[in-house]
Amino acid sequence: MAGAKSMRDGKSETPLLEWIAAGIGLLLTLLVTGVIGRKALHGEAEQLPVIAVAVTGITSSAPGYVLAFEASNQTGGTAAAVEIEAVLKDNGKIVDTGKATLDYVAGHGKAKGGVFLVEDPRRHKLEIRALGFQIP
Amino acid sequence: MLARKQLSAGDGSEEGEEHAARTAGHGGQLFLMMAGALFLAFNAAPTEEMILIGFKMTALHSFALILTSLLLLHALVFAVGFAGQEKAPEGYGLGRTFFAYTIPGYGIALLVSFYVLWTFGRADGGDFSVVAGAVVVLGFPAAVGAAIARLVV
Repeated sequence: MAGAKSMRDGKSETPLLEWIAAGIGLLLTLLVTGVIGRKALHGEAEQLPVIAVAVTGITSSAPGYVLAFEASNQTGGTAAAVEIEAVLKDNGKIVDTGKATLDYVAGHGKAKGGVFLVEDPRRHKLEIRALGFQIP
Repeated sequence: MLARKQLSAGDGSEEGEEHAARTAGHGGQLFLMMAGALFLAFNAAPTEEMILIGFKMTALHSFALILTSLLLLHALVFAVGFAGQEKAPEGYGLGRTFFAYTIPGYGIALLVSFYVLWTFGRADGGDFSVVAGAVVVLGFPAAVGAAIARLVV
């Protein structure tokens, strides 16, 4: 608390603080409004999500291998319940598959996850992609 | 602070209460609003729904919510007439109280919302507009918390 200053004293000394506080408050409000408005003007929210999956690392674990990936959404539309599937193939034959579900991949956003595989993904042909999504 | 308010009410010392409210000053009022905003935002932010609602809302919904939050923050503190309602300092008109308290209060609510979302990892991997949407959603309970803090304490 600001000591024993009365409101009336405060009033005479605070215009500067008031200005600053009002300025910052107004700036933040306008910033948020602007960011949301800009997205609306571009109609980005209505775009269908396009999700690209990139492998970010392979680690061996007790039962096999962990394949870490990062899914990035290339449009403004948000995707929910995104299913990611990794398939290991050898001469066209499927050797192993792994699946993961991401809760959300926000518009122009990223989400990370991983799948467990029994076979070494480095020794087979790896295909990883998003299978589908839900619009939240 | 809650305890102090309640205890002093038990005393029946209206004067002490009045004095306490008056000593807060502008900075103190803003601090109180921040504490109230944090209190409610911390309760609401861990839920999944905060970001889900942010995803579901269109820009129009967001603007409406910003307006509602501002009106509610202003009305709760200055207009509705709850016990403990603030009297605008002398010489403060509607516009001045709005810009001196409501706008900074909402700014604080937005900042607190962003901070809490960031702390809980809910702002991760999102782009600006997505985070802004979630901040506006959480900004509503934060604004109500800010208003209530000023009424109660």
